[in-house]
Amino acid sequence: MSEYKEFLEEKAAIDGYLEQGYRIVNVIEDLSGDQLQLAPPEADGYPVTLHLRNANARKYWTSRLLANG
Amino acid sequence: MADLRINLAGIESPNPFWLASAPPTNTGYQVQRAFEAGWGGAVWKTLGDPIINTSSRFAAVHYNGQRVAGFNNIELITDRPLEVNLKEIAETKKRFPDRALVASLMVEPKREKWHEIVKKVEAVGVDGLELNFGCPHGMAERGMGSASGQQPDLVEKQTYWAKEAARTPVIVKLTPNITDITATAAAAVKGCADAISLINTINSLAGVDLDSWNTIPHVGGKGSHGGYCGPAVKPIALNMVAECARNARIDVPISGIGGISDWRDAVEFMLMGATGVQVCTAVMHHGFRIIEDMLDGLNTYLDRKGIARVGELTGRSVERYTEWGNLDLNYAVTARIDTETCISCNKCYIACEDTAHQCIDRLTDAEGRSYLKVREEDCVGCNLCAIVCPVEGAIEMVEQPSALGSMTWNERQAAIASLKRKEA
Ligand SMILES: Cc1cc2nc3c(=O)[nH]c(=O)nc-3n(C[C@H](O)[C@H](O)[C@H](O)COP(=O)(O)O)c2cc1C
Ligand code: SF4
Ligand code: SF4
Repeated sequence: MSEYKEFLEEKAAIDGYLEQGYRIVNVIEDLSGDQLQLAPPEADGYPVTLHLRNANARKYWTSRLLANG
Repeated sequence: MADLRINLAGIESPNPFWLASAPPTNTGYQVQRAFEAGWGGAVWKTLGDPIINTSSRFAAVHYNGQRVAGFNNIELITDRPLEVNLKEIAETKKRFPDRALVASLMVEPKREKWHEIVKKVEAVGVDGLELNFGCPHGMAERGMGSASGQQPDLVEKQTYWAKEAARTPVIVKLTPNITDITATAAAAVKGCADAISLINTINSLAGVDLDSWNTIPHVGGKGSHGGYCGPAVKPIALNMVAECARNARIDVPISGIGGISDWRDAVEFMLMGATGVQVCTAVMHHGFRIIEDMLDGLNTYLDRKGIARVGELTGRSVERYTEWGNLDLNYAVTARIDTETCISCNKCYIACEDTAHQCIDRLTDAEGRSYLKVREEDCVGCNLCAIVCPVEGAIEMVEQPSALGSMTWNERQAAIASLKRKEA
């Protein structure tokens, strides 16, 4: 897959969760990229972890985080 | 015409171009001819206990038809008695009172030795002193030159000893043969240096002869490491000057040296913090008269920029030079190929396909002609295709607007750290 397509897929996943009201709560940076942990909007929802491999996607979520203070 | 005069820590010269301490400043005859040609100043060939040189001494690296891309030497300091040099310095200063005449000095790291030479040299009317802590060969084996210039404590101590006796400004010339140039530059400042100059030559071996297996150069079949200079070292020198210029501990003027071949190089050094520049290899390659183009070019540039005094250039680009962590990760450029000027040599395609990101496509137009097009979404903006392209302007690096605001690595890591703090 082209790196750009990989970015679009990972970006879509980040955008999708953020639009649903998920909040970025933690990240584990390791040898295979960022394990991004998101907490659900509702108290009884399930947290999710996105594995972001793509460099632009790893840049993207932090840009979103910074933009939202 | 702009005002080209400079004042480096109290040493005045009519223009920022000085000859560096080296063969071109070996004698009064040479320095006076250089001044006649228009050089603003000269740092005399390093004075000290006269040495004995070898034959041969120099070698050059020619690269793909470019003569003297780099220059290598195993020459030591002056081989002439101090009195002879001092007599010629006095004559030269008398003939050219408006030029900067600086004496380069190197003695053993002993207080009385520094006092002795400083007093003798100042007595003949030099405008300043340059302490040579940089020569990488021969002298270093005697505990001088770069041997003492690589140790911050020795740089500080010797600078201080020279300053104890000196009445004129003291410039400390630094060796680049060190991991962090700011360590020795800061030591010079602590030792009360009035200015620093950099760089001296870089440890080097110019080559090995494939037939005789001798080193290049060799002295009767044996070689020894030399000092490298000329155009090839300019980026190394420019970085070192910039590193000093942006370091708050190093708050003295800088004389920039290393691979300066024309007025453009000189302007770059000034923009990165140098008050003036020194030149050696370019003069050894082309002679004293290159000063004419240097003065003309600098004047025209300043006029075009509407700058009245050359000093206004000093340091103007320093704030743009920073740590990698302060660069905006969301800034993006992509390559664009101009099919009108492209000569279809394929260099860019091969470079991107073999060694970059495989994002130049070979396409065919309606008339069946093949052409190259960058897939912008996959282009990381590395510049490689534009670098290898033989046609000036055929590949343009185009800024891409970003919907995301600026974000540096440092900001990113700070945001992640605060996320982790909240989580904890
Ligand atoms: C043959 C030769 C001899 C040199 N001798 C001295 C010297 O005696 N003292 C000194 O401080 N630097 C000496 N240098 C270093 C130059 O002053 C200068 O720092 C260096 O060559 C970098 O400038 P460039 O790239 O313009 O040549 C010498 C350089 C060359 C090539
Ligand atoms: S800038 Fe780099 S990645 Fe982009 S087309 Fe050129 S070589 Fe390929
Ligand atoms: S390197 Fe330059 S001239 Fe050669 S094919 Fe690419 S754009 Fe055209």
